[in-house]
Amino acid sequence: MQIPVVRNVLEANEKMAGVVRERVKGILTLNLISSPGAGKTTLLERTLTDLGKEFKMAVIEGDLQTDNDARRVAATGVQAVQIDTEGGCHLDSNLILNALDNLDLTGVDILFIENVGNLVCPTEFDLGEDAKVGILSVTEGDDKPEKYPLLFNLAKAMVLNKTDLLPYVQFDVEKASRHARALNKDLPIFQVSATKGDGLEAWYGWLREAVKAKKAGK
Amino acid sequence: MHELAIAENMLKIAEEELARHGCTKLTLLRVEVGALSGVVCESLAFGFECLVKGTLHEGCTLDIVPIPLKLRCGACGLVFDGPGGIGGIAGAGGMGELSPCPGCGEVLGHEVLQGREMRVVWLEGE
Repeated sequence: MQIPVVRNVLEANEKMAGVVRERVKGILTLNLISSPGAGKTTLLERTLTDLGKEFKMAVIEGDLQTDNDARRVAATGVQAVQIDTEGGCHLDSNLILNALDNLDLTGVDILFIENVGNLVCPTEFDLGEDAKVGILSVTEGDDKPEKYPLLFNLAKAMVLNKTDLLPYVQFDVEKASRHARALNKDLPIFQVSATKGDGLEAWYGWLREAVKAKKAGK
Repeated sequence: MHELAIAENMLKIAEEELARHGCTKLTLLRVEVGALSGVVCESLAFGFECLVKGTLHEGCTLDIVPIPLKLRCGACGLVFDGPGGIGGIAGAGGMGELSPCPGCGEVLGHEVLQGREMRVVWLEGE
């Protein structure tokens, strides 16, 4: 028998992402995506510490194997739950739904989802987030936005980390920013050093505005 | 890397459609995969083969139809074909969305008209 259909391959993930979206209603939910070592966890630790008095936050940590990152995040006093993907290269919305069962979302303003370090696969899977945040660091190639266009196209913000190392590396900030904005015209780009603290205020400003917009139901 | 998960989703959709039409065995599955979908076709085919091996669907033909990239220039509005090939992250052998417009040479700001597809479009079963 011949059966003509038109069905999106990732429809099951998208459906589950809708369920997640219902569960996290009113909570700014951010999906942090970067390559391994760009500084997602360091940026998170710093953000959780600096904004700890202002917002109630929670974290879902995706990792291939260890719970190292979840322990680092929990050390800041913020509620964190670990998803061990057992080698899987990305998180999907079903994993997020399960993780939500282990989080107390009462009064939470921001839910951070730290995806598995990988610029390709995680981008395809909607987790029910409000925004993907692409994190890039200056120790990587400045052609990353060109090479991985989907993430920079879909992201609602980009953080360029490790700017304190700019004097020591060949990274053309202007070129990377230009290419990212070619893919995504109004993309806000925050140049920060999560270890030194430079430039974080602008990133926090974006978070504050996003929380406000979320609570206003936008 | 994520092709196995994508193959699982394809098979799940196929099994739902088979059941709806009173069939149990999948003999052919046709999927469209866009040049910018981030899918490596060889990995997808391999993942699918692994999934059906030892099941009722073993031997099923997987027909992957590549959908080439089509862009509208961000500067002059000309519609043109992106670099050929499929299976690369940004379209094999090219820069994907940042390809130079044959009309005016602009590389930035193109609109993707076609090339992000990833869908099941046809199946055959018995």
